[in-house]
Amino acid sequence: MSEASGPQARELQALLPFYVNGTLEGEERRRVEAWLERSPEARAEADLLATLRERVKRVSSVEAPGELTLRRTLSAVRREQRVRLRTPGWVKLAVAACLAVIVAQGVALYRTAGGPVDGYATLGGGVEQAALEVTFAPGATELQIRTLLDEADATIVGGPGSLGVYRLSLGGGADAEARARTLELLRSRDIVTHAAEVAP
Amino acid sequence: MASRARAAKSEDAAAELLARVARGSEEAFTELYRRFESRIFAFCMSRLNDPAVAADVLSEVMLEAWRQAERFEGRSKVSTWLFSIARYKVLDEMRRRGRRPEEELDPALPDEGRASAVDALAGAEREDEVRRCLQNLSDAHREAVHLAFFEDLSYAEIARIVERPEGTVKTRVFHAKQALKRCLAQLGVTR
Repeated sequence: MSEASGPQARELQALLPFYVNGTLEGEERRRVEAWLERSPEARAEADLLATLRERVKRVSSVEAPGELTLRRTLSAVRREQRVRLRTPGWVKLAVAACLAVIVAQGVALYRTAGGPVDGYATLGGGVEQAALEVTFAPGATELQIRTLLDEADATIVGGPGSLGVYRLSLGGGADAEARARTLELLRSRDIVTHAAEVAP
Repeated sequence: MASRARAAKSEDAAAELLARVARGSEEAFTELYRRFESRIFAFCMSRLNDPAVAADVLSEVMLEAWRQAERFEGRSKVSTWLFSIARYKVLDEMRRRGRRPEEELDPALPDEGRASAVDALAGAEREDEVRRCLQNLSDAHREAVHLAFFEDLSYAEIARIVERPEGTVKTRVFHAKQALKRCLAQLGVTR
């Protein structure tokens, strides 16, 4: 582009994609239009961008997942609504306190087992022992969950996601056999609706 | 002008839906979901390139919208707000999978000029090449191209979504376009 060397020309080039997508307004739009009028190369560049935009639209159009994902999301919404309606404020505080204790114990165990002591490790990241994911039945109580986790020697290290999935870390550097035993234990309990192994 | 008026009307309707979602309307939530499902899913796909994972993230995004609806203050468009949530969820998902989002770098390719890029773009049979070149872009550049050319958002809206200065957004789209041109030209030339 013959006049595309100074800062002003570079700015016009940077504005051109937004002229092409129809979002440029006011003075910026007028400046780009004036540039297009006087520069055949700018017009060629605009044509190229218009073709590119059309191709990007074509290749990026994907069929949305549809009703199944909507139903799954609505189930998660209803689950949250039920919990909100059923749970008095003091229970929420008590559960938060219990979870804080579980989390603190998890961190302490992790450090005792040789985890980093000189830095802070978040529960969601950096814990390489995360090995299982699990979903609990809507009616499961905190006591039932805690008892089961004690029995399984497992600690919650992540979640719940929107679908109620928790990630568990197993104690004592559990090997494949121990993970399989724990999975069997979790799956045998009514309060567990889903349990599976995940990559660390 | 007519299309802008339509867009403004559609945005008002979305804001009204979100207000009803904030008051707990499941019906409004379903309508909001249906209205934005395709756009959010396409955005997730552009970053994750996995339909099953993108569907999970879409579900997470809409659930988050349900949770946060009452905090929406109308300072941005509903679509901008949803794309911001989607972006966070996508980045979370990428981190969870041990993938570090790339910021700016694209594979270096020789500059083959505009003419060969135009040649490479000509014809519907070249869609695979366009798709391939889009996938070759860095995450930040692919995101910028998607929001500018698929969503037709202004640079100010994109800046709010990606939480970067407007100048950075313009530069990203410019560099992404250059990288696409180079990639398409090379594929066109070597075919």
